[in-house]
Formats: sequence, structure tokens, C-alpha cells
Amino acid sequence: MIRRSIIAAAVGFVLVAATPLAAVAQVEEARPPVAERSEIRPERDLAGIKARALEAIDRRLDRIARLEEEVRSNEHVEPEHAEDLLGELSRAATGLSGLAEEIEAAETAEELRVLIPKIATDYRVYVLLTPKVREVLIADAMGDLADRFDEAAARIADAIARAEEAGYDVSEAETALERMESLVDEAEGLAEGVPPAVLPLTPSDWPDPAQGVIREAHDDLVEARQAFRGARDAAHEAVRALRAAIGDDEV
Amino acid sequence: MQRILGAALLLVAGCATSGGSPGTSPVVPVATVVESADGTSSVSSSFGASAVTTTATVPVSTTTTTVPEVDVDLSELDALFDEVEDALGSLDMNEGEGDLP
Repeated sequence: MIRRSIIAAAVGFVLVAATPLAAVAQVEEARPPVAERSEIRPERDLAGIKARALEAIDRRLDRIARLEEEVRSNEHVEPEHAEDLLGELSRAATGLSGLAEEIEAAETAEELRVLIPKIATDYRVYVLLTPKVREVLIADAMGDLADRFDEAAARIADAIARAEEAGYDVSEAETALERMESLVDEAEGLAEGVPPAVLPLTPSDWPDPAQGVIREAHDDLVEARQAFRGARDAAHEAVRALRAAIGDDEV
Repeated sequence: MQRILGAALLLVAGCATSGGSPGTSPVVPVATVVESADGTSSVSSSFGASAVTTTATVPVSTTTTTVPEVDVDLSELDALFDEVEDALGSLDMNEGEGDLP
């Protein structure tokens, strides 16, 4: 009985020990020889890497085309800002197209290792160019908005003057108008500082100082929006107060 | 205007009543204009001791001040504000360049 157990254990040990060896042998047979592997794999890898790099360039070229359209179709952008932005977008598109040709022509992994990072570092399409264009467009639109506020303020002031001349109490409307004008000044000051801050930034400025400048410009525009929102409310309040003062039915 | 109208009426009334007998002194008409709270003005006239009163009523409303018009349309301003707000809302500050192989 004891002898049978010893034999069974010995047989089991042999089977367990032999199985991994057999498995390893099968894997070794499935893999190509070392010399063959070194010829095939880099070629496949290079083609795949190139394809992905070219896709990354195409995405950036699409983004640039979209930004160009945004600038061209924008009716608020200052002409000199549009010229600067379109020039920069055009140079980026040309540069990326040239880089795509270099990547296609590359024959070694070492070449790709040098060329591919340039897609990001030489153009910064997503982190710099895109927010820069859009921040300038928004700032210029805010400049137009400030002009419209000024026109509205002039009309409200004129209506207030006529009502006051006719003997109506216009103090509430005047207070709202003053608040509106003050908020418009604040918003305009914030917005007009954005284009001169972001337009000179280049990809070589990334991350410092460009990252901070872009973020600060964004924050200024958000703050300007808040001020414009308050100014808009004050404009409506001034008109409402004036109509209430003179007993206008449209209040 | 009320007073002009009153004077005209007095003149008509005076001509009708002061034609009297020759040798008497000309009678100077006296006119009084009273503006009442009910929106009318009354013009009364008298001629010496033998008073003759003529009354004309003129609505006061013809002399009220015109209400100033508030011709301020903020809809265009609102539309541009919404446009700016939408543009700012779509500004994505979290994009990266992390799509490279």
C-alpha cells in the first residue's frame, strides 16, 4: 500500500515537471528565429507609428482649417488681429504638412523619435493655437459688445434727460444707468487686454509663460462676461425704472 | 390760449351789450379766468354796474405736457451678449496634445 503511494507520487511529479517544459518548447517553435524577428517587427512598427503620426497631423490640420473658418466668418474680429491669426494658422498648416512628408520619408525608428514629438512641440495646436484664436475672437466680440452698450447707454441717458425735463423722478433710472456704465468699463478693460497678451505667444513659449498667460486671459474673459451680465441687467433695470417713472404701459 | 379765447368771447359779448345810448362813457369790460379742478377753465366778464356775464369753458387738457417716449430697444444688445456667452462657454481649456504615438 505504501509502495503504491510512493510510485503514484513519483509518476505525478514527473508529469507536473514535464508539462511546463513541453509548453515552453511549443512557444519556442511558434516564434520565428531571432534573425527573422529583427527584420520584420521594426518595419511593421514603423508603418504603424507613421500611420498614427500622420493621423495626428491630419487632426491638427482639420483643427487649423476650422479655426481659419472661425476667423474668416467672425464679424467682430479686428482686421489686424484676423491678419495675425490667419498668418499664424497658415504657417502652422504649411509646417505640419512638411513634417508629414518628413515622417512618411523616415526609414528608421530614430528618425521618427526626433520627428514625431515636433507635431506637438513645434505647433501646440490644441493647447496654445486653439485657445489663442478663440480668446482673441471672444475679446474682440466683447469690444463690439461694449460699443453696443455705449450706444444703449446714450439712448437711455437721452430718454432720462427728456423725462427729467418733463418733471418726472428719474433717480432710480439714473442709478441703474451709472451702474451699467461702470460695469461696461470694467468688462471692456478686462477684454481689451487679452489680444495683446496672447497674440505674441509662440509654441516655444509653452509651457512657461504661455500656459499661464492663456489661463489668465481665459479668467479675464470669464470675469468680463460677469461684468457684462451685470451691465445688461442694469440696462434693463434703467429702462424699466424709466418707464415706471413716466407711467409707460410697456413696463 | 385759454385767455385769448376768453378775451375773444368777451369782445363778442361786449360788442353785443355796450352799444347803449349816446353820450354815456365807454364801458371797459373786466374779465376773470378761473381754472377749476375738474379739467375746465371758466371765463367771466362784466361791464360796470350793469353786469353781463358770459362764460366759456375750455378743457385744460389741451395744455398738459407730452409724456416722453422711452425708445430704447435692448434686444440687439441681448443677442450679442448671448453670442459672446456661448463662445466663451465652448472654450475648452482642458485639451492636450496627448494623441501622439
